[in-house]
Amino acid sequence: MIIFQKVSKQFPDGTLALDQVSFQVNEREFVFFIGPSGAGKTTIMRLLRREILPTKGTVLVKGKNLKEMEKEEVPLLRRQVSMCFQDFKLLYDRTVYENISLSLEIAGMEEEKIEQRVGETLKNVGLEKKGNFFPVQLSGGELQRVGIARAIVGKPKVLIADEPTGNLDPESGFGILKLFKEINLAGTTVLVATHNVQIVNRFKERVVLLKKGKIISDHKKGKYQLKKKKEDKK
Amino acid sequence: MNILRKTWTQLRRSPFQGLAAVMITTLTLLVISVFTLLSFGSIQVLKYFESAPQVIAFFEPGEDLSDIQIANIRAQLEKTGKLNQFRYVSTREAEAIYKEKNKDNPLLLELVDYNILPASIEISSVELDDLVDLKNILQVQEEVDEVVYYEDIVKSLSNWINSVKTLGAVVISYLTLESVLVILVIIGMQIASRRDEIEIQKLLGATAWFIRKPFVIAGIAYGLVGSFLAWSFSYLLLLYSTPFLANWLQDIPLLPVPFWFMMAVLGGELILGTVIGAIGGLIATRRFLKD
Repeated sequence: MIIFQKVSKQFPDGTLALDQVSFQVNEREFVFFIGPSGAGKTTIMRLLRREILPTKGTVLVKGKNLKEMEKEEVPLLRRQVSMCFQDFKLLYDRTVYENISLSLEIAGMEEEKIEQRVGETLKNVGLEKKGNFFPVQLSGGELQRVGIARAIVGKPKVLIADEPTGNLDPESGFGILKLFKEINLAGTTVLVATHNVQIVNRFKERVVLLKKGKIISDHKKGKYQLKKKKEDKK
Repeated sequence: MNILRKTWTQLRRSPFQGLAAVMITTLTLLVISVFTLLSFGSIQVLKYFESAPQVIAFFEPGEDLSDIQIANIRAQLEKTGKLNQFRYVSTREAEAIYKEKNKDNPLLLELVDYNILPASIEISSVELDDLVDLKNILQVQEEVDEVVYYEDIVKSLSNWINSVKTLGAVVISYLTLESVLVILVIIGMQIASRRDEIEIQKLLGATAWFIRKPFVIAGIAYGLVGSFLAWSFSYLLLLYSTPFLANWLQDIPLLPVPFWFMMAVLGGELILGTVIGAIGGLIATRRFLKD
């Protein structure tokens, strides 16, 4: 589904954000990317949506090399590889319903279908009674749920989230990750970038640990938590 | 419906910018309306003068020409190949015309009868430039008392119409360019004020056209509203000034302006308004929205 082959990314100011990074993510997998700030998590997320291009190496999404992708194909990629943002990136002069329906309008869906799909999605994220609310009327956790609803309403193949719990209290953050898990169980590949190890520990999923633009370790499903326990015993 | 609702929302978000765009488009198209009506009117006036007798030769008062004399003069004129229309007006016919024109003034009717009115020959030429040759033939006829010659009036009118058209083209071009630029700047400002929203749309996978479309449609909406307002103002102005103009134009059959013509002006202005708005919107989105 997603393949990184010796991917390096150096920014114009000389910062080496990724250094020869290689990994593979299979369909319907749930992967956490963890590491301190500047480890390269966000760069991986941005490369996946072709917001930036790799300096070296190859990024493949469903067999398509993103570096060779035509400019006209990028919008479709971004609909298939959907994203949740730490700062939510919501339109504050529009209602929750309008924010979520924007994704479907962009995809060119008919108005009647949009209404139905948004209704279903609001129910899935637990905001069925808040469709007519404006973002300023919602809590941080609810805002992130709106962001998630907007990201999944178009039924993307891949959902990526960059620090989705960064602005939330631990309990709301846990609720959001539980929602990601439900989305994953429904068939969507989910990639979450976070530095919140406490929350990651509560889920037994694959964990890729990054540091200074390199992959330090890649723990298979459930292994990261076990290793942590062994370390605690020592 | 969806796109109309979105456009309306967009227009509502920046009412003063929209008002400025509509006002400048209205001004441009109002000037276009005025020049169009002026050109139409001038052409009708010119046609009236061209179709009217351009040379009238008056004979001695109270004396009619014989059929032979009339045929002789006509033959001389026709021989040139430049004659378009020929009409002999006898003293009796002149009296009838005079009576018809002054039927509301009994005093004038009492004072004049056919004995003091001259017979006349009214002619027009195929080409305006040929008129002088025909006039010269009439002038040398023994029976002719006076020749009235309209060539100067028609030529002056023709020159005046050409000047109006040239001036109109210059003013219209200038104002059209100005309208396009104003719409361009206003839409550019709207794009700048909605930078975050555009960025989010891009992140959600919006195509370039999806992002551009509302701005281009807003430009077209400004053009359409402006053109409709301009047409309405010009029509009201025309209706208001019709009594004065009718009095001024007297016999020239120009007013009222046919309704079909005003509808054609409306159609033309709606098309022009759409083009102005669309060009302004397209240039603005190309200039201010980088892919």
